[in-house]
Amino acid sequence: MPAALIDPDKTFFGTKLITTGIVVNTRLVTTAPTSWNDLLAPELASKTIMAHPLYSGAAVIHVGTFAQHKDFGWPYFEKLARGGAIAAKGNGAVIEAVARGEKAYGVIIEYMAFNAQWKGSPVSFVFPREGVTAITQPVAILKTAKNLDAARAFVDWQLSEQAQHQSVAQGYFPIFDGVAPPKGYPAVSSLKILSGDLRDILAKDEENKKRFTDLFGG
Amino acid sequence: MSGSSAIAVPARSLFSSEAALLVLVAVYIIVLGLWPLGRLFVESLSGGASGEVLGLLFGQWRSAAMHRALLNTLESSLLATLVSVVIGTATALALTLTDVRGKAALTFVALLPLLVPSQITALAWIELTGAGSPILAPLGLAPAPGATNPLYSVWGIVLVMGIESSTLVFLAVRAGLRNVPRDLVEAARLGGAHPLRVTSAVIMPLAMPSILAGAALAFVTSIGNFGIPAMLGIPGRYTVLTTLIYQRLQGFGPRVLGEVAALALILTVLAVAGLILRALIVRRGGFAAEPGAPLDPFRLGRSRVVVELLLWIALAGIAILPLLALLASSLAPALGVPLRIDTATLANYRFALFEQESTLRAFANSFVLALAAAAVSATIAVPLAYLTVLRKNPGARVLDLLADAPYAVPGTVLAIAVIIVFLPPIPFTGVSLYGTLGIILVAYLARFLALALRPAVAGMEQVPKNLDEAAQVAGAGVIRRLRAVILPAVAPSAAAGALLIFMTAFNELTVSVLLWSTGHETLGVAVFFLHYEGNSPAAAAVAVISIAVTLALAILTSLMARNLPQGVVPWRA
Repeated sequence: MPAALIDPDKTFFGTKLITTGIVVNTRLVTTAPTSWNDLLAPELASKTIMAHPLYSGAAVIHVGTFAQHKDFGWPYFEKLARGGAIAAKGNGAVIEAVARGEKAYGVIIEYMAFNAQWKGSPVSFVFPREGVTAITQPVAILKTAKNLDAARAFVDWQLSEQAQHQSVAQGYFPIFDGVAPPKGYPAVSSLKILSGDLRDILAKDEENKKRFTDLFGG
Repeated sequence: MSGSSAIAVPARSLFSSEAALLVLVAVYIIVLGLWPLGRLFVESLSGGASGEVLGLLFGQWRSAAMHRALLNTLESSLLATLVSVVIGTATALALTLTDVRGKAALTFVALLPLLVPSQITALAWIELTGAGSPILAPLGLAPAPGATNPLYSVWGIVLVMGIESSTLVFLAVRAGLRNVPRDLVEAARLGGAHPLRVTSAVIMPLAMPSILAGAALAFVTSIGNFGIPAMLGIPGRYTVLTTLIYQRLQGFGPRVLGEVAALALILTVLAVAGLILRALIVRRGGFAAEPGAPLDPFRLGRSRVVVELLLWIALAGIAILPLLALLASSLAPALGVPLRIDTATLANYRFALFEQESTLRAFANSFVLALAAAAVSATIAVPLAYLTVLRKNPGARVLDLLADAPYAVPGTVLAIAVIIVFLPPIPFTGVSLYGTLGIILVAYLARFLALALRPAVAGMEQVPKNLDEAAQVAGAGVIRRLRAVILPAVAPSAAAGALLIFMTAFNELTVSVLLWSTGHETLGVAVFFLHYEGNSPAAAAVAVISIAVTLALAILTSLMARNLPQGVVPWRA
């Protein structure tokens, strides 16, 4: 299991991996970007759409992680906003806009892009070379749980190989290297995950949402 | 229904059973509709966290987001009303005053937007006007690739909302033109005035009250619209009051109920202002003359073909093209893939009908909700109409007026009112309706009673009063009279009302989008969220199926309407 998925004091465990990267419309884009910074060029930024942290949990982590990151920080989003990038509501609106060709680039969770691609939409997904941000759909047991045995059994099952195969069938990255990812996904071990300080992201949640909303509207 | 045994019925106190019936109906109307609305207003006028007098209301009044939403609501609704007046009046004039052919078909097309719910209309227009439009792109008329859909703007909302409410203006103006005194028009024509002059100088001034009344109704409908500003305005960053309330509740949950109640109060004030305006116009503009004979249509002569062609192009463009784009999108294999014969697929229908559980559930839930709302509302409407019309019961008359309130306020307002009252557990049971299908049903029962009541009243007015009195003299109690004498006479009207409710409730979104929960989705919510999740082809497939159901029911209702009194079916000539 990648270290980024495990809570340091083992209070909760990630059950699957949902990463945020870049989706491009293959009819509008011949050379796909390879770096997050490629999107900052004004001619790309003006054709870019992102999910909004007020409406998407993955976007909360994405924006929170970038805001902390020494190579990105808030100047990254300020440049995107200046270049004309817009924030949609959820990830659904991002894939709508990119697949329909209303936007050329989108910042989105990977399985939505892959699902659309499998169905035949003119899109492809890029894992930028700096890495992707990730959410893990964690599972935990409440201190006040009444049926501890059943809770343990459920958590064990969630972390079992069988459950991982099930989430792969739904189009999610597995958390174990031993379980093959969905068709077209890179191996989990090859992924570079930009992990942030979750406590800090939580502490700055309201502030981050407000700053993002100031830049992109809400 | 043999009455031979009725003679021996003991002389029960007729007064008390009639009173009991009245109390029953009153409790129903008060508990489901009036009490929640009353609580909403009390809540919205409370002090809030600051404890300041009217704190919640002032808090919202000072918020910049509210100001923008209020201004946007007024702007988009007024402009949409203007669009609806132009389209509705022009269509009504052409179809009522001239000798164009195929009036029945043209009327059907003109009224088609009435049958299509807002979220589906918006989705259809998104498909029609996007860069990948299956209809405009092959003609070279679609926006360039990479361009955002132009409908994601105030103009998109104005256009689509205006088209939708043009049906209300059309119906109002058509009814008004029927009441224009024939003698006046004949006199003007005999005096040698040109038809255009007769129209502008004689007919238009007489029809003006109907136009204004239709406009007021279009305005009230527009400010309460959720589906169109949600689908077009949220991506376009154009927030109106209904979408602001939705976003606040969606983002923060029931803890902001007080704040959204204050927003709902503002929305209610706008709606009530529009309705009062309408009532004033209707009262002042009332025609003294009898409806009389219909006007002789103006002969258009050689220009008739041109007018017919223009009407067909305009109405088909407004009502049919978007639906064709929706159909094309539902057959496309994936978003952004142009529809071709060799790629057309039924996969989206398979997905919606067999694969995705939540969509399947939504069909079942909406069917059950619509059926229950239709059956229960018709059952309540008949005795209330009976007490109002035949018994002239003063209490029933008041109830008859009050039953309109939950339908007159915007659906968003009613939904919040219902949450406020039915979120806490019901007294003595410990059970909360929140998070169940029950809370949606309660809201539907409150909202749609008015739709059953109008046809029931219209039907009841055709029942001879002495029929009821004869049965009463023969000793039949009020329940027995209702069952054996009244019901058979008004059953067709009541059934038409029930069908109207079913059609409306089956596709309802505004109320259920605030009340649904996992496992308790409605069809409107399914379309809305399939689109939200980026699966528009599946949303289109669900939409096509629900339109097919609605159209079939509308045709059934129209067939029934041939034997029904005027005023039972709203779109009937």
